[in-house]
Amino acid sequence: MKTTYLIIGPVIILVIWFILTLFNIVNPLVLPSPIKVFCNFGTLFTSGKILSDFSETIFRWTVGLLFGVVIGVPIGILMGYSNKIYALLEVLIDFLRSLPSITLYPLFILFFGLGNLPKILIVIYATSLYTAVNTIYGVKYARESRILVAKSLKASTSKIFSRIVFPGALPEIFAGIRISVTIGLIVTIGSEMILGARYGLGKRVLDASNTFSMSEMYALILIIGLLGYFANRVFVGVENKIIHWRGK
Amino acid sequence: MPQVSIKNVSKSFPRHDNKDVIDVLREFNLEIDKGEFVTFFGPNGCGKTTILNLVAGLLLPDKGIITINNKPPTDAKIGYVFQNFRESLFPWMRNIDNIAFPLEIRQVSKSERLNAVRNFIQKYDINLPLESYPYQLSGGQQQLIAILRALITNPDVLLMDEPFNGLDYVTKVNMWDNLIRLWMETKVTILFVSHDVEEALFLANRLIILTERPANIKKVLINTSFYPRNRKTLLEEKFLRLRSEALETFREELI
Repeated sequence: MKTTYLIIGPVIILVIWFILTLFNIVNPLVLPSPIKVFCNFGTLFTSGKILSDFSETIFRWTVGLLFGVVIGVPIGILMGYSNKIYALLEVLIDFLRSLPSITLYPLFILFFGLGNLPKILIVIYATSLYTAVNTIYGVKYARESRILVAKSLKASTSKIFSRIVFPGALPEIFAGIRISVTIGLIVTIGSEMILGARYGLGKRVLDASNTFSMSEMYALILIIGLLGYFANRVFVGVENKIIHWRGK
Repeated sequence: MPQVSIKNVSKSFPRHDNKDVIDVLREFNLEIDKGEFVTFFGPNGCGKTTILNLVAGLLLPDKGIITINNKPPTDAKIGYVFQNFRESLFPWMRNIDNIAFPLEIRQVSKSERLNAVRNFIQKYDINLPLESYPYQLSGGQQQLIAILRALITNPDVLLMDEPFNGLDYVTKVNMWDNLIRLWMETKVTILFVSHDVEEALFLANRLIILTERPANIKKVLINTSFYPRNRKTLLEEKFLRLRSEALETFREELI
């Protein structure tokens, strides 16, 4: 039943798309037929044309995300744990997370050139920010009653942290990482479009658009969308396994 | 010599606006012997929980002295069962690890502490799924986990702050039986806060009725019914008389 509904939505869109192109309601230069797009989708993979773009994008995205998490979680823990550090960095963090990351692309070019480094660094920057913000709240609002239990047992501060506060903050930390997975892809694709690159899905979309290869552009959009969708699905699966106790 | 001694203890907290203080306890005195089951009954916010937190060593008195076995509370072994079991158990640990947590704090090795829990459960003939997680249990079972966690170290004093709130009546009455059985077998001293007069009287050998803030002892009722008590105890004339006396005292205090 649920799967049927899951499929119906996309199918309706496809049918509308098909009808629009079949009767030339929309200029085929702007919106090519879905059949052409899906053929292109296939050739992109079978010809191997897209594999380098695919792997480059995934490389920038995952390496950036990995470092972002490794940096963001400890910062979040420190800020969540110490009111002083929180007060010290609160304005800065709130300012930076209100600032769209794309605004900083020119700065990253200026400081780090045009290679892979600025692209990965900007992913690290954006994902560490979102991971840190969620971690802060997870740690800061750890359940007082659980800490009291440990205190009444005369647990040391480090024990309270490692066994109570940190596991208690995991749902928030994971929520932060989940947002970062999506943000990371957005920033990666954006940096490939704006900073330029030899390979990269973002670069490929831009090229397709500049050369009016519309069915290729739509196929690429589809690929990037599916990439983000499945990454999220996989992550949610892992998350539900690790924090099976969340919300219960 | 009493096991728990609270002598001339005063405690106040700053008000929310920080301009003034609220006197929660003023010159409070109480002595409790080893193995007693003492319940506290009184108006909401009168300072019952503060008394428990002071005995637990979680709070320090502004004035006065509290001792457990002649030592300060920070040197005593305390078991504390909180009101909200959902928020006091650790949902990321299996039930057995929850119960063993106080031993983990005491750096008992993993295999030793798991054995200790299994032996403990067996000794007191308790039937609980140990390998699953707290969220897979009923409310009563979860609170039983919290009680076992508090008892696993063989504490000097067991503090219980309205532990059976939020349980349905039948579960609650079963929990009374469980608790009395554990108390009789472990001989632990219990300080139990309740806002349910029936519960407070059914469990206690001594019921302490507190006044409004700053809390003081309004009246002490001794329940001489034999343990273990049962459903019939609740209907005995002696019990009903004590119950109406407690309620009468409580009503006077509120007027």
